[in-house]
Amino acid sequence: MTKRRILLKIEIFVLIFAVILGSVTFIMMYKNNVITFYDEPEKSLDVVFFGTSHVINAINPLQLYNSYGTVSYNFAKHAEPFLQTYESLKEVLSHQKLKLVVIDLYFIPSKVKKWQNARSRAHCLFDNISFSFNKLEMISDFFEGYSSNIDNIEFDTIYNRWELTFPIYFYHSNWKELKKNNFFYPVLLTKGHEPRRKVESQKYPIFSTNRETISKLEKGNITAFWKIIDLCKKNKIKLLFTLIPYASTNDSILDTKYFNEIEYLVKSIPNVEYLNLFHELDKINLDFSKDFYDWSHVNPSGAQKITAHIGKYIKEHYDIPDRRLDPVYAKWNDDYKLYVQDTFAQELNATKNSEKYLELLTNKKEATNNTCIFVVKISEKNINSKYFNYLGINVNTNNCITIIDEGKVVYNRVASDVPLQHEYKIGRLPVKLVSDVKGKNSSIKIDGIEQINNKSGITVVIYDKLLKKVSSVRSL
Amino acid sequence: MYLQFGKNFEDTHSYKTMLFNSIPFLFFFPFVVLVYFLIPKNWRWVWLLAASYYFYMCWNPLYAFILLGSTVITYVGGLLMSRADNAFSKKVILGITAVLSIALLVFFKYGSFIVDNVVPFFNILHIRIIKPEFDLLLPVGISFYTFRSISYLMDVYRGDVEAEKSFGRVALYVSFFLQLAAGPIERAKNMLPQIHNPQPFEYERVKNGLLLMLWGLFQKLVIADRCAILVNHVFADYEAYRGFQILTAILFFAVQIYCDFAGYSDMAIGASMVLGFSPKQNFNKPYFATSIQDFWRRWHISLSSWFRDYLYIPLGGNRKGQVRKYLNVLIVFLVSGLWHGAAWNYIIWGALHGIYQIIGALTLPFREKAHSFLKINTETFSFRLYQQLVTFCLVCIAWVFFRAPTASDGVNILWNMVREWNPWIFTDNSLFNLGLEAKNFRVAIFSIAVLFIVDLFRNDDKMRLRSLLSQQGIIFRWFVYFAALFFIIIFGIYGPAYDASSFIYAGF
Repeated sequence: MTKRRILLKIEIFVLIFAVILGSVTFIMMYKNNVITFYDEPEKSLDVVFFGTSHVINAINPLQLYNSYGTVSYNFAKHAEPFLQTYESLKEVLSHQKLKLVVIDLYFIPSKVKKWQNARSRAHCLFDNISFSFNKLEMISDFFEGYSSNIDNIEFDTIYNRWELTFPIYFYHSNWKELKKNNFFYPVLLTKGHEPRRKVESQKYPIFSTNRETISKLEKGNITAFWKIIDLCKKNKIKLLFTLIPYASTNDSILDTKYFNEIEYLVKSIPNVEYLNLFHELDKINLDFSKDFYDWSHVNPSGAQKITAHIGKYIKEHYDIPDRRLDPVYAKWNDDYKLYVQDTFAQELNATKNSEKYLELLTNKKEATNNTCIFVVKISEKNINSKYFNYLGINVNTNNCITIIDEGKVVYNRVASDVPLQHEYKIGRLPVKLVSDVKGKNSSIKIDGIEQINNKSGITVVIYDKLLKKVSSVRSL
Repeated sequence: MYLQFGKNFEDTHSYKTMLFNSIPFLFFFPFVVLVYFLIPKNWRWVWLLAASYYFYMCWNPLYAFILLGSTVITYVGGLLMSRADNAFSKKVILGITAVLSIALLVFFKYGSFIVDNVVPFFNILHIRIIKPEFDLLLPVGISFYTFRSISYLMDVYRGDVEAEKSFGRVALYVSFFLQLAAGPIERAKNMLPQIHNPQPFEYERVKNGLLLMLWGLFQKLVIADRCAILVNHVFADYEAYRGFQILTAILFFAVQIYCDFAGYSDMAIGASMVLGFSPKQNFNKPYFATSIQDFWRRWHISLSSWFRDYLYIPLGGNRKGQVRKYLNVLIVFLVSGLWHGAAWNYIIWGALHGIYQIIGALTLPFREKAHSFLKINTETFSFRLYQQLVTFCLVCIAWVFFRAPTASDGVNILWNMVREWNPWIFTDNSLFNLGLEAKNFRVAIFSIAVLFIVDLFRNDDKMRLRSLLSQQGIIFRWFVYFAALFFIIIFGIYGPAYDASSFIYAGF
């Protein structure tokens, strides 16, 4: 065999190996909000948000798009060290030509030395970044910038570089836990935003107004701060620092001395602004008793208010184009619709109260208009709700079958003794419904798959036509 | 510090070590190979020597001085013997250099063991001995390179090889990184000529070497380390287990130690083949052995042949009568036990193998008469299977003492195994509570089945799996390669999710 042929064979072998390794790693690994960033066409985004989980939870790019036509991505990462924010910006700029960069400063005073579960956190930071020379540089800079500061023996070794470069080393034993979802790319595009659904009342924060020189901060963070400003300047990108509100865990004053100093500092830097949302709490109308998931993160209600406020600020202060009517961005409309449907499904499934559930079905027309709702009753009891009237259905007999397709009642039959049976089609999908109180038989089969399996009382099954799946099954 | 099984893992498990199954080795080895074939032939041994010392110093840079010391003794001893003008001088030089080499081994490996056992003896005699505080790390592979050194000295003494004039080449023979940590114990007469005549790059040989390395990796990462999870779990708390639970752990240990050691040997041999060397086979289906004697012809062949040539034969072998022969067998196996570890349980393990062989030899005439009287055809498959099963059972009983923390633990483990009959563990899922849950247990069983099939056809001229594979089309061959690679990558026990055990033999 000639040398050339041997080399060719080795090259092809290594290439196939790399492709399979990449695929296997993708299946095995933990996926976060960053992975779908690479689906955005190159140079298509105008604004990208950076920071920590505060940003992930608070900024909803699809809401921004729907309200202002701003095309943006939430590239924040859970507990991202500030030095890494600079690396993340570099990574984003290698794919996108931005008009505005928004960076939350919450982690600028934090010290990596206090990291818990450092290994897992590092994997969260890097694993979803696509493989490139920039990623290798990010990993290298991470170790050079932080390794000596982390109180963790795991992090002073060469091993962790290999491990972060080839994360299969960390994830391969996940083969035991693989589910259907692992094999598919995340279907829903939230553009990096992750809502956290829970309501936890928080104390209203009181923040300090004193200032402290930032030279006392961790050196890597300060370097990153100035490097970010330089990088934006070099790329002619406007830069907006933010401080997204969080609550006080006790009665003491929130320590914001470094944030106040930065606010003072950036006043003299051209094209750099600072939006401290603690100063705008009244304008945002943030309700600390309802809008928080925990002391540190806002829930979807808080996110809606913060996103609206930042969106308005961006619209008023920057020249960011409205892309809503631009045919190149038509997919954003589809993504927004999908997002609405998924949010609706999540809200329904998170609602424990039956009345509240029916209220959502009645009021969220934007979402229910893209669904087909099946209702089957087998019960000798009458179950009353004003919402049945709103929905336009009668369920007041022993047996009942109702179908509401795209907001309209297309089938509603009731009977006291006679079993009911009906067949329907959602597009090509066959649906078979049975209601038989005497035979204790209730059934809704969609494409042959049983959804309710003889549940008694009233059972609602919602098929989402955009998400193309059963989005909710509920016994009332 | 004397070596116990549990300690092996701690002593050799460090992120900085470079075992064959470590990520740094994945980059180190291809780099060594690439440079090896790019530089002129005359310089290749220098490159390998540098790589060997770097490899060894990854464990602990101080180890290199011990290795160097051992090499100096070996080189000087060989050279002096070649210049000695009479047999007596040669014998004296051999004696001094061999004793010096062994002294290094004894000091580092057996120092604490000797002190621990000598002090109580003197206490009984009311003689007070101040126990020195040893804090010595057992240098990795010292047992292997000491035996390689002695083999060289003995071969020079016997005239089987000429004394090597180049210190560097002797240093490479002693420290060759692919066989440094856990063997095989290659002979100087096989290895030195190969160091002198490096082979050119040959695609087929490199490919076969890589395949053998892959097979070794499968044995180590998928089977041995998976079995180790169950074995460690049960042996760490053996009082909580009975009957078939213990039996399962013993059987898993038999598989673990075989796959660990044979896997390492296959990786070492495969990697040596990539570099153009032709090392001797170290394992030959040992659990298919029909007697204990046969087992030792198949298990760790380079070590057992070393004991045969450099201990058993010099002791007189079977030339000085039956009693002396049995005594020699016992001595060889006691030393073999001690070589495996400085603890009583290893000595008992060695003694058991010695006793098995003596009883086997003593009862042979009676067994042959019984076969003849009962008209048992000993040439049948069923009789061979019976012999294999009996041999395997005897080997497993001895393994209990090898793995148990102490000799008395070994006895207790066996007692716990026979005192309760609990076959329901195979049907009520409690088998999966032995540290290895159901999914991993099934992977272990599947992999052991693959191992059994491959071993069955190993060295079978009619059914050579490697040549069968090479006859297939490229798509099928590459499919097999990738399937094997990714089976190891996915199902191997490594990474932070597991405290992957080091190669058991790296501590010997």
